[in-house]
Amino acid sequence: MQRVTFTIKDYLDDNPRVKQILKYCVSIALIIGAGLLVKVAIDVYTWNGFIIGVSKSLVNGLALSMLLFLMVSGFFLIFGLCGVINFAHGAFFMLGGFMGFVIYLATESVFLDPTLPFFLIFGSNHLALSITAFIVSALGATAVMALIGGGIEFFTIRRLYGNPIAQILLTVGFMFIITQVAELIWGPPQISYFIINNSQISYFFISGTLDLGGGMIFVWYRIFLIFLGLSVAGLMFVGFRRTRIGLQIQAGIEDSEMVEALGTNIRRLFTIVFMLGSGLAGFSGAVLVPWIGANSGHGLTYLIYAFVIVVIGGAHYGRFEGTFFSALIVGLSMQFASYFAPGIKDVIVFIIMAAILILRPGGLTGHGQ
Amino acid sequence: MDNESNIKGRFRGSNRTISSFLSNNRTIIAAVAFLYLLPLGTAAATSPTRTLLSLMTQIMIFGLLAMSFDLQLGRSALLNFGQVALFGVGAYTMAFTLNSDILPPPFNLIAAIPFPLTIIVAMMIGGFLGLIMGLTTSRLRGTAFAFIALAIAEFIYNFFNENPAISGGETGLPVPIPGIIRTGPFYLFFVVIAFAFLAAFIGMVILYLKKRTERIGLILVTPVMVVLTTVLFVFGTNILGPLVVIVAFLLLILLYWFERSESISDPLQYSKTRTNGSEEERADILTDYMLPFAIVVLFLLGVGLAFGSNIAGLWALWAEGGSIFILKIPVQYYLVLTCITIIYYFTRRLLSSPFGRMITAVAQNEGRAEALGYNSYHAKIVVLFISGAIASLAGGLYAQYFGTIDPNSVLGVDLTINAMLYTIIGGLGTLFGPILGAGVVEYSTLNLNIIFQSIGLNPGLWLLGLGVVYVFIVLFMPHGIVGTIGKRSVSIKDKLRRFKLGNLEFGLKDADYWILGLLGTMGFFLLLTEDAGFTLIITGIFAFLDAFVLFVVYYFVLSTKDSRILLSITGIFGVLTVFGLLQMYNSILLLGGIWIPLLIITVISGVLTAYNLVLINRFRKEIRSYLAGGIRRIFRRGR
Amino acid sequence: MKNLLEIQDAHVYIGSFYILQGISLVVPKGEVTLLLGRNGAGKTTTMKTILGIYPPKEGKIIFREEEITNLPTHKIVNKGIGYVPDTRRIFGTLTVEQNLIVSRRKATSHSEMQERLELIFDLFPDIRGFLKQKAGTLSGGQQQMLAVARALVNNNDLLLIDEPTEGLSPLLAKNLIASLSRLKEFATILLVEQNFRAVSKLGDNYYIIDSGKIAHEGNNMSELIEDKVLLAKYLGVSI
Ligand SMILES: Nc1ncnc2c1ncn2[C@@H]1O[C@H](COP(=O)(O)OP(=O)(O)O)[C@@H](O)[C@H]1O
Ligand SMILES: [Mg+2]
Repeated sequence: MQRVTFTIKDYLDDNPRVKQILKYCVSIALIIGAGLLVKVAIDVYTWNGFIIGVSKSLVNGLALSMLLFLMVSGFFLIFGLCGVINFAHGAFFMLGGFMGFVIYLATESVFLDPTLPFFLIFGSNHLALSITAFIVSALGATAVMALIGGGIEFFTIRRLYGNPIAQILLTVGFMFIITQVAELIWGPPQISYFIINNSQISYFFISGTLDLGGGMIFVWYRIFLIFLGLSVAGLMFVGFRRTRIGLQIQAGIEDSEMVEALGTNIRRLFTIVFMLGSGLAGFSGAVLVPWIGANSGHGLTYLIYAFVIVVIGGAHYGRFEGTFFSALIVGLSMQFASYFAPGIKDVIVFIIMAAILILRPGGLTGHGQ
Repeated sequence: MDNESNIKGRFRGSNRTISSFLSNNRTIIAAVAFLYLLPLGTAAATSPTRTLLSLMTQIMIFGLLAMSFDLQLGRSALLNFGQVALFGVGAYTMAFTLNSDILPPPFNLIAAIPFPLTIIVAMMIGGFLGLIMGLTTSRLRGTAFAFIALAIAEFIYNFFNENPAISGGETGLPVPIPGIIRTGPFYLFFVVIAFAFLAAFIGMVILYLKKRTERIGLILVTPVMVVLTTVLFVFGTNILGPLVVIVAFLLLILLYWFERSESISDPLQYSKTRTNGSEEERADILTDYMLPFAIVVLFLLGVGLAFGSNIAGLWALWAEGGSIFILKIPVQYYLVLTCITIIYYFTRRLLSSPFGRMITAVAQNEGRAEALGYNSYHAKIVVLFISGAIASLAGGLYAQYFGTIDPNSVLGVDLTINAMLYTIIGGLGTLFGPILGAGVVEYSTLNLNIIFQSIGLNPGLWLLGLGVVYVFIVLFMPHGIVGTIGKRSVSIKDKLRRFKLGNLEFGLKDADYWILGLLGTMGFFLLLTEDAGFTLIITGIFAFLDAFVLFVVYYFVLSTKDSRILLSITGIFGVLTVFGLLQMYNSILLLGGIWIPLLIITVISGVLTAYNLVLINRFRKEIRSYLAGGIRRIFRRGR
Repeated sequence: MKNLLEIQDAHVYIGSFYILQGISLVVPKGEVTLLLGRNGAGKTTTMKTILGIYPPKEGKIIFREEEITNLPTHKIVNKGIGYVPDTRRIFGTLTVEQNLIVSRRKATSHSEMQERLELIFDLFPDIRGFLKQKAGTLSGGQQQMLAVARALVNNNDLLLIDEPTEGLSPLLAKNLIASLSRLKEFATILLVEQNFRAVSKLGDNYYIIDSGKIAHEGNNMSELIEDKVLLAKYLGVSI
């Protein structure tokens, strides 16, 4: 235990900016908390209801934040290394959701087909079936989106490096196309698709709730998402510190021309990063489906969240830490607002963004103006 | 005496400014005059032009929105992803000023402002929103601006979405049609403007012909005259109208001959003024004042005669208090057309001014512009104000035109994306391109949706196709339709300038292109009119072309024996024959009745084609050597 | 093979600016070639042209008797060229060790890299001390050492070193040049240096660039130092 706190302290001493961000986060949390307290005083909330609200919002917020972080880090990587603002990123997220949905159901129906050998293993063991199908769907969505993203980079965006506005216009075109395709196949945003409603066996491996008594009921899947998100984020973090390609990407975000002059094929790195970023979008889209459903309108919504998070985190100078903390801020504040102040749940992120931009025009990690 | 000359001088001076205005804006005047002419033909509620007019109104509204987007992106490199906020704010301002029941008491006083003024109010509010966007964000360079503008737009969208009491929510907010739109005087006001534009147009043609005394001048103006007369003939209600206009055109030709003979004999005339001053003076008066005046008067009279009963009929309907609803479509069309004309003209002026050049400099290289002493921040703020006002104007016009608005239709991000599609497809930075882009996309959307539905396809496929087209344009045609044509046109213009037919030199100059613009506009709109009259007009045009080719060009063929001309004429006639057959087939199938003139034309074209073949046979030696030469040239170039 | 690198009449545009107006030079194998000239003369651009960052519109670049004119940068570098840029451009968010790891090319095996690291520590003993430190927190002299070390991670035949002593104190500059002179045993060097007196012992040949053209060339540095007229004309040294 001693050791862990030590390393975190070391890390904070090493990274004064992170420390600073943490300070900001704490102060924002304090402000929000103070507001909530006032709200509590005014309202007729019992103390009990307040605790329930806070803990529920905390769980939901953390789960959402983790997944938002994964999605946004894809966006941020592409922006950082290739300098492309990928307006299609939200659409990748949305399509990733549909891919996850479709692949899950397809895997399920393959496993349940009595003529195939899988039936022997999974025919009666629905838990194993569901877990396997979930893993297949998450990985499948990641792979499909990585291929789509890489393909788009390789065949089109590659022609336009050095012309940022044309790149944006192009990615907007892809956003438009992907949204249209999704609407053609799955209908307008009024329809959301959930796995459990469409599953042949009406079963999903994490579906219950955790009841701690006294109204403290948490959905298991969201708790699971927190850990899933954290572990993928940790994996990514280690990957970027330890692997050569991770280091190259980090170096490229700083100075891509120099990385090239050291003998790296930067174009290939760009394509890889595009695949990685789109894959992350696909992954987060796919694992969020059991919670928020697959919906053709998510493209735009989550694109805007990505923007807000990047702006709060400081897109231009920041690093992953900034993105991580701003994802936390956005996810938590959205969930807290939707529990405690539903009237402002859609505008809260913009209010926070405006506040941060006024306080620190460069975002959390930025140097200011 | 002194006083008189002073007045005369002042008159001359104003005369000169007017004439230079007319000569500098030929294409705009010609096209706008035609656009103003269009609704004069709509009398009954069943008139086929009404569909066209309402489509046009929509296109112009979205064209305004796209134009304001282009002003930011194409001219000052500001990618505004919150464009729709400006539009929506305009729309809601219009709604609030037209309906006093929406806003809570202190604010609903805004509804006391009478209608046309509310347009200005909407523009001001949009302009200020643009200003706020600019103040908060445009210190940030390019990409961050796109982020934050989008966030502002989303904020506004969510605000309206969550307050259905003032936004109408899902069901939408009804916007009453302003009463004045359905009144006769307002209609008449626009009719007067229409006539003013027509006068400007014919004045411009006169000025043009007086300068362009080469043979080509008349040759170019003739089709315009023919088409205009045909339009009056088909859409007008009184046969006297086109006849009077024909007289006006005959006078125009007379004027042309006067000027021509004068300019041809000019070099020998050095002594004329000295020896016979008074006669010169008289000639001057005739060609400078009397003839033009007569032409203008006759032309306006002709148009008035042609459409007089329509106009009077609408007025009478209003006076009786009868079905005033008929007035809605033409008046709203006029309103939007007037707005877009004014905005387009002033924006173009602004962009060619020193300030406009500064904006462009800032867009091209901010750092360098600042080093040259330009204040890029100011430039951006001003652009955002102006384009905010324009977008807001579009929103306001949208609200009063469509009658209901809801947050999704006027504040949804799709509208920004649409503006972007129009701008890119039409041509970034061309100002006219976005309007054209809006036209192309809206028209195709309307028609392809119907076609797709009728053959059982999902209309969403068209939107998918639109996205693909858009991506291709970004990748391979970065200048859009207008920009690409503009780029190409340099070489085409050069070719046309040197183009020769026998010993007839065309030598097209920049000053001549308004005719192509006008004919293009006319053709485009006539094509869009779902009217039987269209076939007649096409027939008329082709009849004219046949006659033209027959009487003018054959003369050169037979005198020069130039095989090139012979070949091209044969081609033209061949195409005409095929086209005539097709048209005949069409009209027999669809319209019935009017196929006889087509038959005549087709027969004439066919006979001429045959005659050409005989001629080709006679000239085969020349043709063979010409073709051989051509092939040799091709191979030589290949090497 | 006498000349390791040869530029033949290179004309280079950056955007629409005509920067190099016909540069020709040779870098003999095993020697140190100096590239001199005022600020803005085009020295850095020449380096970047060799690296393929600004490919020449006309002219040829030949490395080890093989034309590399229009190859992409990474392919050129992988033929064995190390680059020390003029403003150091180390990766500030990575540690020194990570900076070195990023610089390793595929062709260099891990064991080979270990050998090279030994050489680096031998040349710049200080580096061993701050291997785990963030490169952005190093001092200017340390950063410059890292920039040179990065070019030594791979076994390069040719080193392009651009103004290594810029912004260093005279003492540090002297030490650095001493280290560079030891590098001579391992590689051929094309060196850009403002302070030509400091490197006069080092250089075997020299070229003077002025306004994108080769204004003067020679192989006797001591003569150059004496030639006040030349120095005044091209290098801005007052007589
Ligand atoms: N990216 C660029 N765009 C335009 N001009 C440039 C660019 N980089 C360098 N130049 C110009 O090229 C010339 C040579 O620059 P450089 O090679 O860096 O000179 P130096 O000899 O000092 O290294 C200078 O005049 C500089 O202004
Ligand atoms: Mg330099």
